[in-house]
Amino acid sequence: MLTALVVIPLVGALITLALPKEKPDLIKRFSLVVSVIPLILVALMLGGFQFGSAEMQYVVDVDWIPTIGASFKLGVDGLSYPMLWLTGIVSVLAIVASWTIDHREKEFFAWMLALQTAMYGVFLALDYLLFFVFWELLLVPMYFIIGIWGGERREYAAIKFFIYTLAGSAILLVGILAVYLATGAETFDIVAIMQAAHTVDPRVAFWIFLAFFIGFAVKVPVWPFHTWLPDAHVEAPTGGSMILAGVLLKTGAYAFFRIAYPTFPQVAADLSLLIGVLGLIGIIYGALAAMAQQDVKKLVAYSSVSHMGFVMLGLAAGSEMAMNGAMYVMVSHGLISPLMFFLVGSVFYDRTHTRMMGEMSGLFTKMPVAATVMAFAAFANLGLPGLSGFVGEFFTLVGSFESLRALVIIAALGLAVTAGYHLWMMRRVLMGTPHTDAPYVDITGRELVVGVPLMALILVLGVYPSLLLSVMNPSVVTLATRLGGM
Amino acid sequence: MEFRLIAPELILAGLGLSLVTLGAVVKKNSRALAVVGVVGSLAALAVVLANFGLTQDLFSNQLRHDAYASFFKVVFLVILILLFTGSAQYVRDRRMPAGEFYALTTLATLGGFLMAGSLDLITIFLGLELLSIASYALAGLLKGDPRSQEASIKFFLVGALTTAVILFGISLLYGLAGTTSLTGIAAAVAGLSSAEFPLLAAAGLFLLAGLGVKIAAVPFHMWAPDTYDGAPTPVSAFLITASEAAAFAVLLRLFAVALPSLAERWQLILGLMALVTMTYGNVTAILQTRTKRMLAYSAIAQAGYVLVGLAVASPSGVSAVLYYVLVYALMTVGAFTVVLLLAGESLGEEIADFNGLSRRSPLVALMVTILMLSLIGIPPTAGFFGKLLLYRAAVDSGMVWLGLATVLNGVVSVPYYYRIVRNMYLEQGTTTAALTPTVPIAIVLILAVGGTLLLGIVPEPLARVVAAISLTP
Amino acid sequence: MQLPLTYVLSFSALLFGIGLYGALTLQNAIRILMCIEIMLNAVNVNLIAFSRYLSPLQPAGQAFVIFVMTVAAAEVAVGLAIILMIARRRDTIDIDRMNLLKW
Repeated sequence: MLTALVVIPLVGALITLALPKEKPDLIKRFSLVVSVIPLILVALMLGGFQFGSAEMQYVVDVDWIPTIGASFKLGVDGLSYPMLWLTGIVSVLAIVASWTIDHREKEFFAWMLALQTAMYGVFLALDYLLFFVFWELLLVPMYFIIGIWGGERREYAAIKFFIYTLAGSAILLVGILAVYLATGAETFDIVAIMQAAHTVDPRVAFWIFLAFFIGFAVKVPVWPFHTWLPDAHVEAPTGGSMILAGVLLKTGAYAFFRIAYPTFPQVAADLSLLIGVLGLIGIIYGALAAMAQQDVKKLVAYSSVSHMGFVMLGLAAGSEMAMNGAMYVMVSHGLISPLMFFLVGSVFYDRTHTRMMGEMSGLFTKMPVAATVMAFAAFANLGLPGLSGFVGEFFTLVGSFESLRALVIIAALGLAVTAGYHLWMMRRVLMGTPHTDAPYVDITGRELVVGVPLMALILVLGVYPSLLLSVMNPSVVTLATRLGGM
Repeated sequence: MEFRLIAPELILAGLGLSLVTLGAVVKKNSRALAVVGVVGSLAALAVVLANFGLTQDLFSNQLRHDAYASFFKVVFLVILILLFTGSAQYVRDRRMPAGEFYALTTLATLGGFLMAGSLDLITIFLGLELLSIASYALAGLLKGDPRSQEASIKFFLVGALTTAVILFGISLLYGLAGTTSLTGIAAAVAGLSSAEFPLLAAAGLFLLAGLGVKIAAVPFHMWAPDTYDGAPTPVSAFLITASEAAAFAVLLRLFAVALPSLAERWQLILGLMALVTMTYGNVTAILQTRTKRMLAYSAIAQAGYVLVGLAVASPSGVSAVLYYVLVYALMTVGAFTVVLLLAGESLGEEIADFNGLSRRSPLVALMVTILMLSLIGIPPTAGFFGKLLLYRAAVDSGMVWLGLATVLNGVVSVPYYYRIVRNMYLEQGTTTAALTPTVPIAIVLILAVGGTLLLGIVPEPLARVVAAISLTP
Repeated sequence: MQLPLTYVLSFSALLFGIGLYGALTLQNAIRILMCIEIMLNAVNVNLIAFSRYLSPLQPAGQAFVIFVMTVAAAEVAVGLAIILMIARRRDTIDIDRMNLLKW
């Protein structure tokens, strides 16, 4: 089952390459079908998923390189299952959103499918080496997607993204090797190493954790490793931005939950203040930077930095509630930010041909439905109660209050800034008098296909949080106990 | 028994001689010669593989037939076969003397065989010279091309000087030990007084410097970019892969069998040499605009990676070197074959010639991308796994700094490997005419790229083989 | 009576040094080649001396000298051919003027 999840998109990508390039429609439909299959598989897994259990499920374990103790090991638990859903949903919608790609379609959709393989792989891998392979595999398709189909400064953005993340993962690789050799277990199994990690000399453990931290933090991105993000997000084509914001950023945070924290809980606890402060800086800095933007896409990009700061804050606190909140923020942001990128980068841009706030206004009167969707997304993003954004941030803040009181208070102030720039953006873009008299076509059916599922999920998760909490709670509790027990 | 074990050497010698003769008869038909060359090398490969597991000292301890030597022989033959297959058209287009090219490459490979298997300073010297002298002539085979001539004369003068330096080191070592046999030297060195150690160090230094020239390690690399740039493309590929691999074969055996005490004392020196070599190669490669020159500096950097395996002076280091040498040979021959392919239309000399290649031939562009990713060391390619073994060896023997430096050097190398990929996908070329590789070149590319992918995705079989190979029985 | 070994070794080291110095500083390719030959002869003196003084009954060193001489002859043959090829085309064998390939 899990193997199929990883293999199908890749096979699909190869088949896409073999399709005739004169038939872009065929290519688009085919890649859509291929990306729906994993989503169906993820849905089918619901049937056998043990909700109360923190154990790994659906485990696949095949010897890969026994000489050095690496195996092809995949598994799902409460932490990765929501991520699989997120990957599946955002991937399918990103493909639909990319329907407007009009040159070199074959390559584009092949890379999009290859990207899916890597994303599923990262969330499923239970072997350090395998994890690292998928982790690196994320870079290559994304590089091409930004570099070929991106905006004006695409090349700069693409190589910046590539080198930043590659440098991060280079350090990560040293960390992986160090933990592999330090435990002396002769295995790359993530779970086995986690259980053996307490034998590692604390000073060595500190350095290894640091290597993990840098490697993952670049991807999250934690301030001050975030500078690649605004460039990459802004220049990427809409489908790419959606995946980047919706899923790729989550791989970094997920890796903290899956690898860094459970393996070295003691170091994590020692560094919790530092990590919390970095998260807090991310929240405030992201919000302030977003406020200063004229380019709406950049605004959304910086708001991602801000939201990922909440994830780090929740992690740093390490309590059950805070970590549940952090996971919740990940999922919720994984739904909201693709929606916003889609609106800004595609729906609005296709009509107004600008992303500058000064150059579009009064969209409420020009295209009421699309503008309403935007308002919905903005409210969700600023954390309006009743929508998913609120739940995660609320849990995170309340859960962190006990251990990181001062930080939480400042972070709550950050929320005010967040609300501020969203409202300000809405006032300038959606309200006011229209810039031109030219009529705009309101949102089309295809665009609604992308928007409505995301809106529905945001709403459902906003009013019925236990839907998601019931899946991840057991795993989060186990992790929190591990942290607390140290 | 002895003849069975040296049958591959005999086949190569016979092949080389018959190629010279044939070359004089069928002057124009380079393809026929290539076919003979490939068939002969395949025969040699079959025998090497059949003898793989056997270990025996031959000819009163002049040669040792063991898995280590056999592995290098396999690497040499793979390189030879791929190059013979891919270069026929280039040889014809550039009016290279075909008989000489095929014969000299075969004989140079024979030199590599001797180097990989030798257990005696005299045989090492003979193998080295057979390889070197043939290479000097090979580098100058484009007789009308001043660049090739220049490459040849520089290569020759540096090479001859190197020979003298190596020989001086050998003579000192002989003076210390009273024997030229590596095992004899090991025994004699173990009983050396500390007063005599400086002399041993001097001998080691001469040998290291001399062999350092052959592997183009900084600071002995100055000849390499010029030679690799100016020499005919197939010859550059041969020198970068086979010739360097042979020098590594000797270095490893020399330090592991004859001078283990020196290897341990020199860990730091060798490690620094590795670090400087890879960093220098990577940084300088970024500045290049000519393809072969860029690949030449990349070769220097890659030699630095392999030196890591030497510096750690451990069995896992040896295994890592073996794996990486094979992988590196595949990647490099693949990359040079693309240059050969472009040379078919008088392109490929400049990195800008790769512009728009993805539209001319998506498949070739994809293959080049895989090769470049592998050279950077990104999974799931063989380059990644090869480097992983090197990192592991470094971290395992406590040289974490060296492992970290190697990993970071992979990042430094991104800009120049990436430039080729970028040019292929993001630039407009001068032409959009479809580019169809000839059948032999397609075969080589498929084998090289396929091997690169396969050894990256399923590294286990080869990893097991190299893990079992040890220099000290 | 014999010369002490150190005398012979000093002589060969001196010879090697002279050759090395010449090879690194001269410009004329033929002269460089001759200097390299001097270095090789230094090696030969070394080998013979060690062989004679340390293990006179196992003359491996002297056998080695034969190999060195033979191989050196082959090397010179190839080298002169290359130099000749260049001389014909460029009318110079000054290595400082071989700068098509940037150094």
